[in-house]
Amino acid sequence: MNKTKNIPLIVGLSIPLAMIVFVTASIYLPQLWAPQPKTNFLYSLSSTYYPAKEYFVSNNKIAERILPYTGNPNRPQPLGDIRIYLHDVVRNEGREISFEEAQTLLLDNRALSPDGFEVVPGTRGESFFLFFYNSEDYSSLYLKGHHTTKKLHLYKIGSIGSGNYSYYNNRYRFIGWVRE
Amino acid sequence: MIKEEILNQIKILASQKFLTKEEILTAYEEGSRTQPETPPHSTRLSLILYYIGGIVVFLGIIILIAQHWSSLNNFTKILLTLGSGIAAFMTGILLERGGHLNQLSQAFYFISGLITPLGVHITFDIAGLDVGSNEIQTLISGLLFVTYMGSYLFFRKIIFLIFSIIFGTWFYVSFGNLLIAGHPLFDDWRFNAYRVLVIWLSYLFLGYQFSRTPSPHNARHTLSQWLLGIGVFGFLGTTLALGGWSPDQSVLWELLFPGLVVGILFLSIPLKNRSFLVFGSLYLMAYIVKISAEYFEKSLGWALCLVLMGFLLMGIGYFAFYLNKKYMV
Repeated sequence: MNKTKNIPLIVGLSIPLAMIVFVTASIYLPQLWAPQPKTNFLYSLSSTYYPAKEYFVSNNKIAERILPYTGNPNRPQPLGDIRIYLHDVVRNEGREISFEEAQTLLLDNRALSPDGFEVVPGTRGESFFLFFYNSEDYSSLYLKGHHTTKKLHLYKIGSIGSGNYSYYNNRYRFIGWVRE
Repeated sequence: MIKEEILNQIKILASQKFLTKEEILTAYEEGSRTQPETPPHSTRLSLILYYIGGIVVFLGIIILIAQHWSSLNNFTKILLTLGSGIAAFMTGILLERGGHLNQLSQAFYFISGLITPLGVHITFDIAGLDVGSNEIQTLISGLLFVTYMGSYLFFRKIIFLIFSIIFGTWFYVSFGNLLIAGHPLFDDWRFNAYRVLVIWLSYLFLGYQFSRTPSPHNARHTLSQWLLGIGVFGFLGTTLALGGWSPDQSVLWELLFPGLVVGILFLSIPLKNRSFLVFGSLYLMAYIVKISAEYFEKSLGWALCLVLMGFLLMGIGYFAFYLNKKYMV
């Protein structure tokens, strides 16, 4: 009899617990059966927010174009050194490659890889007392697909060691997936 | 406890010859001679004044620390905040042992509940921990929840239950943030809306549980009215928000919402809860305005929309008035 009397109390306490269990399960369970990412990708990093040039995909091949300085003309800043990296998604590590080497690769510049993954920024859940919000966190990038996420260990150039490195804006550019 | 339940118990005990008619009648007559347990007006006023005093003390400590932050050393900062919180808690226990100062002890527990979180934050900050991080927010809220829930289970004071609910909600939010931090699986705003919806649903169930207490005048009953009020306000607000706005609307939630509101309006009758009636009516009006602006403004035109909305709002207003008059008064 006591049990039926306390049903609202049990339900009231169980709902938040169930939500926490659901969130935990949503993060960890799909990793058990989701396919592993296989398609490597190319990206570029600039040492400043104003790169001297940019790389893009044209006819499945990498191409480059010179960029003008777009910052405040009264306070000109040096144009950034830009480098290309090939990221191995299985080993989750990359290496720097030359433009000439990159030209030998067949590329696909669609956001979603052939095996169903995309590169996205992380999220930052912040709270103080009962107030909270989520925002995009460009200090880390993730491979997202098939209801799983995997943190990418990408290179960092520019303000290395400053502790506030960001993949935001022109610093990081996704170039394309490497087709076999 | 519900009246029918008590009567059923009497029937069972009578059938087992455990209770006699005379015993029941004697108990009834004794009960009807005693005064109801509603606190006298002067007692309630003094309780309100105690709580206002508690808030003033809390604000005073905050202002004192803010004005002298740079000149106070770390020990004094901790002493003023965490020390005051613990001292207020201990004073509450001592006053309660005095018997007749029971209500004043509640005010000291109240001060403790306000100051202790501030004290823990300042202590952790001085210890070099990042109090803004999800890990530390989870730790602080978890510590406070365990402390106040334990105090409630030990002392059985409603004030501890209120703070347990607040700190428990805080823990739920912080721990959720800790779990999802970094994972871009949860970057949709609707996910956060569902997290909030869970809080309101939990409040509604807890409020309903506390409403089933024997006396309609005790503090538990008042807490239940607050929980039901806040719960229904938040629940309807979140479900309305989940409907979204064209072209990014959720048709499922937009269709479900009127059903939910009608359900809440009808629940106000058995629960005898005005919050359900008032917020249900207000949200139904808000829904009509939202749907009109979203879908019919272009086809019917604003002027005709306003006329139709006006009649519908009048109808809802009359319906709420009718329910209130027939079932609440």
